Amino acid sequence: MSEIVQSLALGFGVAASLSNLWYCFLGALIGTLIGVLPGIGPIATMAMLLPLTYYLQPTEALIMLAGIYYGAQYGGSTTAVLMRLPGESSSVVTCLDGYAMARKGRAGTALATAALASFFAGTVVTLLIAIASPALTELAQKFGPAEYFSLMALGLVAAVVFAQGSPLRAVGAIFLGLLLGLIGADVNTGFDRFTFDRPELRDGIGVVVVSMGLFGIAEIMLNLSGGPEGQGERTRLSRLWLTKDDFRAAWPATLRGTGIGALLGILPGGGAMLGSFASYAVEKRVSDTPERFGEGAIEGVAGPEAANNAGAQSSFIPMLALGIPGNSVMAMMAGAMLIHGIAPSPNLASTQPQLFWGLIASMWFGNLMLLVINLPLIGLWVKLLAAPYRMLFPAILLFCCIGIYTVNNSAFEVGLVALFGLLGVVLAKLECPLAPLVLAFILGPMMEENLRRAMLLSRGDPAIFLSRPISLGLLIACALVIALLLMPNFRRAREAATEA
Amino acid sequence: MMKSSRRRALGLIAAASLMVLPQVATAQSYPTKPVKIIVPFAAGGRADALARMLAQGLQEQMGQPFVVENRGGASGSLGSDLVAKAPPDGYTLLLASTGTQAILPKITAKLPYDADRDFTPIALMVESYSFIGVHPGVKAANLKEFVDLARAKPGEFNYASSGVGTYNHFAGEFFNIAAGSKITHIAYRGSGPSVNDLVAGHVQMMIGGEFVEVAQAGKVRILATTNPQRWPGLPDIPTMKEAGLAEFSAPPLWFGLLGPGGMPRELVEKLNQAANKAMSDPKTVERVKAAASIVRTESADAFASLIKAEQKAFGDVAKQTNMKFEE
Repeated sequence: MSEIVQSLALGFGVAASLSNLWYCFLGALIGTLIGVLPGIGPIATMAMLLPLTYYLQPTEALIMLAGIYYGAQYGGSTTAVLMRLPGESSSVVTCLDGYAMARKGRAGTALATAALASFFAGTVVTLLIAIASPALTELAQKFGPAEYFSLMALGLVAAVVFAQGSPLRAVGAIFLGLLLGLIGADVNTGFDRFTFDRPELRDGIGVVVVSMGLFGIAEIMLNLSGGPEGQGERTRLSRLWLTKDDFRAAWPATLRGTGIGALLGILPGGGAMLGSFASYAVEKRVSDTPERFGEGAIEGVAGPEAANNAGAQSSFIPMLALGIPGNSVMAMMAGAMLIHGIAPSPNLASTQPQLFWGLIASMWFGNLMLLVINLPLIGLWVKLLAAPYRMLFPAILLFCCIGIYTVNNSAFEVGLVALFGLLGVVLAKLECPLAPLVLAFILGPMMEENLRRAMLLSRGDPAIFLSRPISLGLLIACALVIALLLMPNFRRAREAATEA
Repeated sequence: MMKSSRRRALGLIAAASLMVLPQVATAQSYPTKPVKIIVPFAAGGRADALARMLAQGLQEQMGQPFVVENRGGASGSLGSDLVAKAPPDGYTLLLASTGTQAILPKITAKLPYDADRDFTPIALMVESYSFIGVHPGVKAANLKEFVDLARAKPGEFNYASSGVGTYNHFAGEFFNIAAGSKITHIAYRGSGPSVNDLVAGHVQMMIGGEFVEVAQAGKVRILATTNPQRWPGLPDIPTMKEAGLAEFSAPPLWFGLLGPGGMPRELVEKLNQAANKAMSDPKTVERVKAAASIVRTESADAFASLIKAEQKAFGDVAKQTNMKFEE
């Protein structure tokens, strides 16, 4: 324990130097800005800034890049709340209740909740990284293809929880999401599926493209078709801060969200994104009033926002403890190290203690700075809503196009966003829930990939999913969720039958 | 087929008409405006890091900005296509790899360009070292023991790759052919997850350069390097030949600079010399070494014949193992 205190002291010493604080602030600020701008995400930004880090000290460079990544998680919720535009893929869930809160004039409260929940999660996970990285890495290592499959299956079953209203429509949305997820080259064989000979589709469709189109662009079209009276209510705003009741409701959700996000974030490959979905599902499950979800429940903002920030930060763990980049952002961090001739490795903490602990300590400073940057901005953002919509929406559309284009320098993807915008309108008219679709779109490919990988490893024996304890546990949880989902209906039907 | 050859012919005509105009004199004054180096992969990877080092060096020598542009997607064919269709005036260059030039053309018939005619090799920049690594739990202290074990237990082991048709995948098949073993290929999405599962023991073997650091911490056991020479960074690790598997014939992984097909000779020479000089900078040499690679400076012709030889080697194995992207 004293060793950790010593190391953390070293880290805080490094991180508190004037230049490191400056780069931490710069990263957090850039992260917030790109988080707010829809489409343009941390990966594209880090890629653009990578050549500049060439001129920095490695510690400064990594502190700044890390700041951009978790800063984007803060900023990403802003447009999600204000315009139903997920600034980052991880803030898709925030669109649900955050935007609903904004429509009720509680945009300020929603944004403050998001910032506070993110700060709490960031602080807790920074400590977690310092104390438990090796142990958590070991846990993550136990997750093989079979465990991943079972986890994804659980996630998919839980997706029905996102449904508001008809479960049948939710199931339909899930299948549509799964189908969209199939587009692209099959990982196991390399064969193209549903790519229509477009090479741009070989890598599949980006989550940002789908979510921006379905949520953001569709919302703009619906707003414009609704006439001026529909927009009147969005400008009505009351308070910017949380009431006592808000705090009481948000607090436990934040706590749970932090835990869920931190755990899922450790898993390599997209785990961080799942945290916010999982947290939302859990909050809706444990709530006494699940019907409030989707109508502006503050728990539906606090939990997922805590989870996505926790996940963003805990995804550093495999990278720091093992030297294995778990997602593309971490690959970028590894690239920044390589530029400076430092190879990411399991020995990073002993070979580069200044860099290692400095980076960890900087995360806490970064989160504090983000809170300081974001809280005063809330007033400004909310004022933005007062601007006439006819001025606002062309600007939003422009930013969307620029953002999407910069991700891969591809005009094709801008067109795809427009297409998904249309689909979003159709689905809204059909009252199809979007969150299950996006979740299935994210989970589907991973689930298939791991199912086939596990079956390859077991040489075709499906018993692999039951013989491994973690996988078995997850599958049992899956069965329980299904039972829970069916039970109320079953009971109601039976009650109806006995009464009659 | 008809369509693609017609498109190719059109492309050639277009390229030819562009060539007539400003050439000859350009090599002298080149570059007079910013030059684009296309990296056909996502930012942050090895190719990207190399391109940025090279861009920096070329910029210092030639006094014009060299801008790196990431155009990832479709195993590198999207970015490569941009360069294939660009005018051969030296203002659009490609940071290519074994994957884009020697492997991809052999496993997919759907490439929108001709891998030979549409590119001019300029400079071989870097040879990357690959190693055969096994999970520490595998009961083999050296390559010979592992080969014996794999032969004795066909179908028991798995090897990881960062995707179908990647260098890791081919290297694994080269190994199976050389050792007469049957180790099952398990494809992952990128090198992070594949190394993760190798370290965790979900797969037992991988051939690549991605796990050197992990191996030095004892999480992966390196049995041999698959390059023809030992890597200076790990002088105790034998080559495949020294370790008793001389039949293993996978060419090493490289990264190099190419331009669109039909670039004028003087321009190629000028860029070749500048690139070689940029890569020989001691700081660059050090940085390249950190990624388990060495700087290679060769003539443009030597680079071209190396690509030819590799295309044949990978083509043979692709045919033998029926590896391809389309049904």
